[in-house]
Amino acid sequence: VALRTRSLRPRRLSPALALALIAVALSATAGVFAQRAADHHDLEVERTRDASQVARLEAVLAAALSTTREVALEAAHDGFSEAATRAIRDPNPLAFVLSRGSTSERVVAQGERDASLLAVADAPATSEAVRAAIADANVHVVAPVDLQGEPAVVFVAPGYPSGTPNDVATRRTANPAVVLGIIRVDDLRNPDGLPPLLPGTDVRIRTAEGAFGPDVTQPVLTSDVRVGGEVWRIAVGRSPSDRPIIGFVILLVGLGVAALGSFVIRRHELERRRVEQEVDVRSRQLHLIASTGTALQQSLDLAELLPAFAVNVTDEFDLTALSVVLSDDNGQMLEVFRHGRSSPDDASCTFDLRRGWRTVGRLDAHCAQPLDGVSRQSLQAVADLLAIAVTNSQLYEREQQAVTRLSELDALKNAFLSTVSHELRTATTAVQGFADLLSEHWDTTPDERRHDMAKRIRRQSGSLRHLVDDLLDYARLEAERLRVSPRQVNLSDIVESVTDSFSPLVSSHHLVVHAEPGLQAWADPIAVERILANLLSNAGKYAPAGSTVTVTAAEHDGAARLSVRDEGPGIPEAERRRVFVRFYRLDNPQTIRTHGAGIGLAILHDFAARSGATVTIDDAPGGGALVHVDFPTAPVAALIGEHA
Amino acid sequence: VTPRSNRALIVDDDDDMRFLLRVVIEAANEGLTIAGEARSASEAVTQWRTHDPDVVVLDHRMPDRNGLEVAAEMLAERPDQSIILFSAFLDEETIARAEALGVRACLSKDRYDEIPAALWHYGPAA
Repeated sequence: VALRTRSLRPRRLSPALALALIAVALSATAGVFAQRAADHHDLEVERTRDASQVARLEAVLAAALSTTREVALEAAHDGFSEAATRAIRDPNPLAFVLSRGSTSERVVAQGERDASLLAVADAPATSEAVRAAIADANVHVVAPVDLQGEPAVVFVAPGYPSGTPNDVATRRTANPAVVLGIIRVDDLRNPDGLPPLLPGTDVRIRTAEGAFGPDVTQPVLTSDVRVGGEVWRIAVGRSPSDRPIIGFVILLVGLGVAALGSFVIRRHELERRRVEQEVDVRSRQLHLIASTGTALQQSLDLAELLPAFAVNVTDEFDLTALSVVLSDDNGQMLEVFRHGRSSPDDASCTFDLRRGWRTVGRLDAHCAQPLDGVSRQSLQAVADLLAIAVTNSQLYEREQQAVTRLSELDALKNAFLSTVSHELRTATTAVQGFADLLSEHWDTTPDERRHDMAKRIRRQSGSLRHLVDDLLDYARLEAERLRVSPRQVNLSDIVESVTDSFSPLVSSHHLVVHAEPGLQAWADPIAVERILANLLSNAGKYAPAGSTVTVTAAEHDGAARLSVRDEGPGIPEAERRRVFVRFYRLDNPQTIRTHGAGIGLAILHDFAARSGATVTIDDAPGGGALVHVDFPTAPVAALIGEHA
Repeated sequence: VTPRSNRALIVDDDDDMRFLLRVVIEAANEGLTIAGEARSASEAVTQWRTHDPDVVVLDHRMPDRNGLEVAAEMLAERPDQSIILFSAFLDEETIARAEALGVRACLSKDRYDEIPAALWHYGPAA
């Protein structure tokens, strides 16, 4: 649970968004201030400039007025031609129409505009101004008038040839020269030879007749100028389209920077989150690996470990299913545990459980989405830990088995010591007891009983001898000093001799011997004796008294076969391999009843193996045990413990 | 004086040991008699019920059941039955269990010659 705290963290304002907001606010503020500063700065500059603009306009108007007046005076005194010529020669933007009030004499100073100039001259406002100028002998101004579709200003000046008459009537009858100085408004605003108006600056002039020039919405300077007898209001300022936009530019740049910054920071933030998530996942997986390592050390019992392990790993890696497959003793892979359920669409991934150079199993992981590299590495680490746990568990199990085996062996040895002690004491007691009785009561003991006691002493001595022989053989076996020296022998002769010698072991039984005359074998006579003695001893112990024990020596499939058959309980097939293990005795009442150390068949087996002979146990027809020992008939290479 | 009667049941799976005990008891004294002999635990219980012996000389290591199991059965039926455990291999555990059951004595087989005295000692007059 502690690992899943991600969703519980408080949601923070994204740094990218915060920065964008700050940048926008800053740029907006900066834009406003910049705009105001720019506006203020422009205003100051323009006030100065516009004042000069107005002054310049006044000068141009005054010059135009003066020039028109001069041309009128020249025309009155020197004639129209002289005046016109001079007027045109002078560098000024004016066009002139020279006329004499009562006549139709008219001269146009700029020929290319004759028609339009005459149209201006003929306009009613112009005619009105002419009459007024003649009447008061002053220059009159008409503005605006239409000159070929453009606004223009007309200066009307009278010129009297012999001085200006004092009264109006005389002035009217004096037939003065009248000069119209016509100038387009554009030429007025930007007359030749003067610096142009500032870019974005406009001039609007309002006269008694109307207004001309572009609309000035934000006048910087307004000034009243006397022109002739009129007062013109001149406004100088910027047109709406020319307003400085530095503030907006800064705002836009700010927005752009904010957007770019936000984008960069957002990317950085996403990358940081991705790395954080990866670190988080990695951290959780490392934690799992660490906890898995600890958990796997807590027990050596796989049945206890695997369920918790599988649940944890499945949960942490979002797996749909997890199988643990282990290698058995024969190298076969067996699924020992499975958690979850996979579907055919799942991705699957296999991780070997490696321990050193060998693979002890594998993990089969199933998941809805393919595992990424980090998860695969982590799962491999977990698999390696599991491999260690599996190996330790298997070693522990083997150790437990070994302990169990040793414990069983210890129990068998204790039973062996108990049995041997019992056997030895029983035999020696019987021998000593009968010997004592004979020596102490010889005279009073009937002959038949004496004879009986002697037979019993002989039988017990035989048993004692056989037991001592077994113990000596066993000691030699333990010390690996049991040696056999096989040679070519007549097996039949040995069998008959040994049978005769050890017949007391089966004194209560009916002993039958079938020895094929002259049967040759490659064997050590001592080994044959020990083998046959043990077989006879077993038959004597296990077969009921009075039953038949049959010893046979005959050729069988190229081998010299020695067989001993009894009519006892036989040896169950399942036990036939184990009876050759030292101290092993069949766990049945018959075994307990019999007196044996549990080493006879083990000794027999070792003698046979060292002689190159094979021992097989079979069921005798009609019941009982049938043991075959097949001796080779020729030398066998590399025998165990062979004594050269 | 009428000799006291002391009838013993000899239980041992070894034929020679039974014979040895019989000879030793017979040679020892008048009054000691062999009530019966048994070669196994089951035979011992049957003989015991049949002959009602004064003392049971009981081997420990037998094919069907061991001597202590037989003793337990007899003592459960007759707690005052006198039993001598006569074994070739007596360890401390066996002796302790025998005493706990109520067996009168444990005697190793190499002390076979002490059997007559033990029979008198643990017989009817005891």
